[in-house]
Amino acid sequence: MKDQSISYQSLTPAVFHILLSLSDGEKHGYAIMKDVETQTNNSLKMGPGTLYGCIKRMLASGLIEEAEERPDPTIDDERRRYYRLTALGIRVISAESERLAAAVAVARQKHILAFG
Amino acid sequence: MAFKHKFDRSRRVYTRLLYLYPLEHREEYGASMLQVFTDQLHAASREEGGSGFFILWVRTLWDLGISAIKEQFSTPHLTDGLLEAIPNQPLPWKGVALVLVPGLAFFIAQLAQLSGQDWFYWMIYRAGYILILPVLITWALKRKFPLWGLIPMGLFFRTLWDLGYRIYNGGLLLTHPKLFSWLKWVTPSADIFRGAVIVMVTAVIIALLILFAHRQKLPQKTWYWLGAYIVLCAAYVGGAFFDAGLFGWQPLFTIAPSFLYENIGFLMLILLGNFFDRRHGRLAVLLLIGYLLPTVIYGRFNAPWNSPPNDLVNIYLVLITIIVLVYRFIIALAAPVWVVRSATPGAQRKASLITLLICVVIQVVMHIYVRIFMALNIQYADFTWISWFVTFAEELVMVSGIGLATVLYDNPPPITQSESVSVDTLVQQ
Repeated sequence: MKDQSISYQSLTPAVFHILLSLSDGEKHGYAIMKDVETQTNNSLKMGPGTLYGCIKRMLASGLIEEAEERPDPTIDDERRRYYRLTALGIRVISAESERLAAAVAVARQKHILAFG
Repeated sequence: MAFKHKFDRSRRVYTRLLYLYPLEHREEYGASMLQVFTDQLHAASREEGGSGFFILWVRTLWDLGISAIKEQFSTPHLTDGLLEAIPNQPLPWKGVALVLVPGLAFFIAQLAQLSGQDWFYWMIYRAGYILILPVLITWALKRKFPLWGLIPMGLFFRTLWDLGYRIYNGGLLLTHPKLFSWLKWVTPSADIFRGAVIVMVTAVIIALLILFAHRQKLPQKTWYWLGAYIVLCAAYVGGAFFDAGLFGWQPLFTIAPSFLYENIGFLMLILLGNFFDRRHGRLAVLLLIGYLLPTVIYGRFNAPWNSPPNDLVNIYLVLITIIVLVYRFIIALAAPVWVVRSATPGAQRKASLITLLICVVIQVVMHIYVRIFMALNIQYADFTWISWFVTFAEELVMVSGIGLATVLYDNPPPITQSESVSVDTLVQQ
């Protein structure tokens, strides 16, 4: 049977980096935003509007889910909502990463990339 | 202290800006978005100082503008009630706003006309062509005729029908020496040909209506209203002929169609409404509101209206202007809102009937005032009782047309054989 994740091949950069950010554990909105900035050397800066627009669509697609546990009020604001990857989200980010890695490998073979 | 003030003000402004997002999105994510923005404010002041706020705001406004538009267009509820009303629910206000566009355009144009600007007349003759464009584009893209397109469609129909009259009355096409020289072989005069065309069109419309009423097994009152329409049309033409001293067969074929032209158009529009009531039910009556929109266009008068002979006539003119404004308000703004905000079928029917009849009454009053004005001028002194009869008969034709339309639109097409079988199957399962 064809993997359902095939249909998620063309992820937008924002969605891809949010999935990547959540791959090492659940995070709240601001933490995701900062992590994406770090991942991309500040080349992808999302505002709250773009971030929560993506989160809404990713929740609807079943790529991520809201974590039920809230942070300890002594450590962080308990009103913060944390998100984590679903099983589908993990498959999708894996497939997309592999696809990009394959594309990078081809680019290296063709000497498009300066460093190989 | 200054920092805290800037910080709090930024939060307040951002909270207000969140209203640009759809309600559902705001309720679900508004608090989280504000929290992220607050975190960004803290970081900006910590890392970049005073200029950090400015840079953050530039980035935030760009993000907010783009994402708010995206959310507005991707929210499923946005289109609810825009293309068609949900049964037993009033049309949402965003749909109402679209329904009111033609009325607003005409109402503003009317006010402009009172201030002496002549673009009102430009508006009358060209609004139909412009307002129908978004309707046709939406129809083509969505494959559904939008509810808010009914008024522009009625307006467009009237504009085309009026254009037809100008061509018909001018005889430009029918008397063109080269293109239509063949007419000589068909009929002895272009007048008779034109009359014959109108009579044939009338016959076809009535035949189509009878065929439709017969196939849909419409109630008896449909026939009464249609009969009343035909009889009143005949009475109107008869009265007009008597008033003008026209007798014999020749004017019956040459001039009668001119008198009937508008009533034939109205009847054709009522028939056209049957194609729209399958989707929009009783709200198809909005077509008639669109048709009535350009009528009663007085307000500022050309000579001799601009130089009233005495104070009495001047008062009449002021009253006419007030009546026109009231008419415009009802037909362009109040009636559509009342009709589309009525939830139940009964309330929609009541709203349609009452508003349309109010408009007819206003038109009658308007005509009476104009007739009185004419009677007060020497050149129109030969105003007789038969002139009054003709005035009222013309309005009664419209009333019977509205009655016919409401009966027709009250009876949507019955369930077909295949549909009823599938419903039975579902019930059995």
